[in-house]
Amino acid sequence: MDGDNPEGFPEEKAWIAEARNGKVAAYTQLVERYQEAMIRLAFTFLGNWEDAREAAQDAFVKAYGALAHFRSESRFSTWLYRILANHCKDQLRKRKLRQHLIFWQSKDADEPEPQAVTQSHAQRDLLNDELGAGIQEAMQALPEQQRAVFSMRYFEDMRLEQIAEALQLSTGAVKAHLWQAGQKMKKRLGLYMKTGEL
Amino acid sequence: MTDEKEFEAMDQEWCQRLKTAGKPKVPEAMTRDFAAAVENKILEGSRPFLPLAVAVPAFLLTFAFVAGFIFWFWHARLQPAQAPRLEGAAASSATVAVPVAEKPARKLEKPVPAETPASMAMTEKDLASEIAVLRELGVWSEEDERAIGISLEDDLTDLEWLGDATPSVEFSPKAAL
Repeated sequence: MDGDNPEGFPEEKAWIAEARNGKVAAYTQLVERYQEAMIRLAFTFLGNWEDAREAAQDAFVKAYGALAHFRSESRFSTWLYRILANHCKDQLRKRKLRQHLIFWQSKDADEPEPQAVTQSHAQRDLLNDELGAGIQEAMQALPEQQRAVFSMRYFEDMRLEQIAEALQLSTGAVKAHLWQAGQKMKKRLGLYMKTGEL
Repeated sequence: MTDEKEFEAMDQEWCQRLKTAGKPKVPEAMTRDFAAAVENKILEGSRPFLPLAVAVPAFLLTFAFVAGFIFWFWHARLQPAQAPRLEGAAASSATVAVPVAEKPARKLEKPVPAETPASMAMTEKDLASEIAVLRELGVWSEEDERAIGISLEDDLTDLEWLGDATPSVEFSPKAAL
């Protein structure tokens, strides 16, 4: 969506102005435009569609509360993704802590499989696309930062500068993460590449 | 990481491959009523804990109660001595105390002989009759008369005169029988 219109959408300025004045209906227009991208990006972080939906909703609510701090110099989508990324990182930290506590509470039990991978397996039928499932599974094996950068670049069509702003990284760091993620994904999806599916 | 050209080549390659494969599809159930749910969360967050129509009267009622209690406490406990004391009234909380400032200050004065009230002053008649009684009993002497400044002879005249005025008991053998 961002790739189609690098300058953003002009009508967004009017919606943002109205939302700042307390008109929630105007903000709803923005929600409907970016909801799919936000859920998909949240899924990249969390690996769970339910958690992704919840995280995306929370990010939208936070963004509404922080509209007064939004500067028009940057694009609204980039600012929105930044809020979502920070929120998802918090959720992951809590999840890791919870898993750590569960592990110590049941010492005899085997270490539970990370929820992201479990949900990727469960969502394979839901996706109804072997290639798509394969891509998701390969992405879940990437570290969190590389996964986010890869998704933002190739699924949300964001520019490197926008990714850097959203994840609070330098452009060089974004390139580095993207390079490493690309190499790993190529190894994991090698079969699909050989057969021409990817 | 290798040079810029290799990066750009890889970047372009992935863009093309994933553009063909398509973006991961978000399940329809995840986007259903999503915007409405966000709107509800925003409105719930902006709603006050108590509606204004309930909060304001409750606040006023509480304020009035507290103000009334403070007034009662100040009036009943801290200022009981300011009420004037009613004469003849039983000792109770209804007793009104006299203002402290209005009470006359007690002064230590030199004791002076109390003046005999006029109603209590003895008349000359009473004095003479008492002296007569004491004389009959034999306890009244000339020295006593001199002490009070009365001469015997003068008194006799007065007594005779008094005897006419004052009712005396007559001894009458006939009355006794």
